[in-house]
Amino acid sequence: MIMVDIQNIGKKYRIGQERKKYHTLRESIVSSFKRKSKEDDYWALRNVNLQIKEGEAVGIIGKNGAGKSTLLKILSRITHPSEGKIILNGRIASLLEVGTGFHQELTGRENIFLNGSILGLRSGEIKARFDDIVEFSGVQKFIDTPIKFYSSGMQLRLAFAVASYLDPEILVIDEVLAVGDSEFQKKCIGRMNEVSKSGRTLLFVSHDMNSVLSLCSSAVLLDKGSVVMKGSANDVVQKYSASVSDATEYSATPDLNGKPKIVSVKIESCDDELLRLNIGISSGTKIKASVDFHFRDQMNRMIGFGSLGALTYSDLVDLNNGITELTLDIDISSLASGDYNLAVDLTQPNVEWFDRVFDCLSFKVDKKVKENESRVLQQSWGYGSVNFQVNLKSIR
Amino acid sequence: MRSTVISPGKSNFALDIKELWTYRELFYFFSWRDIKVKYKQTILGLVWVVLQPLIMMTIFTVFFSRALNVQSTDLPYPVFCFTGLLFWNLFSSGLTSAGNSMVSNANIIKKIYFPRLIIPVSTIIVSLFDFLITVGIFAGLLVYWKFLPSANILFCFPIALIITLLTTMGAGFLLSALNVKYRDFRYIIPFMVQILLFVTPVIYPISLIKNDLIRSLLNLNPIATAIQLARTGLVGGEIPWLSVVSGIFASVCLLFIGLFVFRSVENEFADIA
Repeated sequence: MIMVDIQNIGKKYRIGQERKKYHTLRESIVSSFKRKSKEDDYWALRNVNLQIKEGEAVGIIGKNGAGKSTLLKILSRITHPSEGKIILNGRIASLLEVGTGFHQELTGRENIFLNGSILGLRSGEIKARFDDIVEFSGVQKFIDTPIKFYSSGMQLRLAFAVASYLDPEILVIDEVLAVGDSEFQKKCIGRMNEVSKSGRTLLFVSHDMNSVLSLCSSAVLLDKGSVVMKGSANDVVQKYSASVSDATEYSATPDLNGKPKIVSVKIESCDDELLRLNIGISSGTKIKASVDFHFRDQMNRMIGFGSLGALTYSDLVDLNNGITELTLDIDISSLASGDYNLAVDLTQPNVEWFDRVFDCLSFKVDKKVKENESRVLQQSWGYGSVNFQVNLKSIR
Repeated sequence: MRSTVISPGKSNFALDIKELWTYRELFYFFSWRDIKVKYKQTILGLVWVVLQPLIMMTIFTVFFSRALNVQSTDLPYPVFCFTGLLFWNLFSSGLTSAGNSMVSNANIIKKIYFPRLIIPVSTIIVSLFDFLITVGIFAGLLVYWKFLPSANILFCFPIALIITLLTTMGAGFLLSALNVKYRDFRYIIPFMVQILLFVTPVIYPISLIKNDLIRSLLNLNPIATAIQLARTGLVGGEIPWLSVVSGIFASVCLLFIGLFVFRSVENEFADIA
């Protein structure tokens, strides 16, 4: 049975409206005399068609601005589509932000009831689940304390606990797991897995490909407001990872007064042995920092880690007040042919985390067959991405 | 299984009563939240509900009755003034909080769906709660002053309350919708309430106005009708049926205008709030 039937959905924003969130009377009087031009229209979504079956868990992925959140907002009936229609066959609950409607002055107990009722639970249903909710959140001791005295982690746990006991036929979740510690994230994924196993239909937006892969059977890739691909989660994630792999440069505005910040990363050259990187870091003070590199393959699996300083403190980079430029070479001779994503972290090891550029860059390893080889390892074969040397001793 | 259709449809101005009924608990929870939060971290707490009208009544009694010598027809001035303030405060606090309600709850509106009308209605319920407490005090004061109201009060007070509530809702829906679109209303609302206080016979009797034309214009104001009806109920005498009908008519008209504007802007709330 089809639970969610999205037919030709489009959402149009006026560009002026996007930039400026509200109008004043004067502006609207003045602009009513001007002719509105078609060029001011911006389609956040256009011609989106999707059918989601009962019990399906669908990941929705795409770059920032691809229209993922707009689609969820339309599905949750928060905003209206400009064209097309959606048929929902069942009760829908959406979790676009954890803790919506929490009030800082109210106690944990009071907030469970308030938040639950805003999310669409009856007070009887909340009462019946109250103990489970409190237990899942782990804030038993503080349940009668106003939540303004809670840590942000406690608030988050409480909020997710309420939401996870919603019992809709269709559950829509936006990137709510981007926060919280890893233990709690695991708990959330586990809980969502339970929800999806029990036959509920799940729509899940995330930038974290690992949670999409572990939670969803199928996925949808959105780009510039339209569906690029729908298929098994594996295929779509791979397609997405390949589509982000076209940047070789990253830049951000320097912050010369505050914490150290990565202002530029550039791949200068890349062959089958060495990857040469150019990194610019701004800082407001003289400080030592560690620069770490995470390598991920096309399935977004972590395959390698390299660091200047995190493992050996003598390698820490001296940052000056101003912009420090680094050029460094990384040995990539053991990687298989294929596309890779690179993330850069800037930290003071075990003390403070300064900045992260997440999967900002990609590079391609294109190996040539050497004299003593007959072929090279390809990432796409599915044997992994790192080539180990195997020495043959003897054959019997 | 319930089936829902989401479409751009803007033609549907009919109020979805069934949906409001499914969400009925939210009325309670929103007003409960506002009542809880309103007097948190105040030392006097709920005493403020009692003190506000008492202080206002005392101030008006001292200035208007003693200093300016305003004549208050058949009722002692404090009783006269308190009756007016009772309904006036319901209207003014309801209107102010309803007018700002959509903007101050923008974070919820942008994240969760529920019938938006619940938000302004709940803030008016909060004002109604204050009103009911004040009525209790009013009854106490009547005993203290040894003032015996006529039996008509049992008819006049409820009707006056209904007229005031309908008017507050109509104007509140209208302003809350406009406020989301044009934030100018955040500044306009306090002035509007001030001006309305002067053109409504809250602290002076309408008979003070000698010009017939102005007096009949002022009588179009449903709040003026409600207050005068309540006073008639206290004094006794003939119930002014004409003004009962005109008051209800005016407030119902206002309610429909408010609902219409609210419903027509409702779909855009999340995009512009």
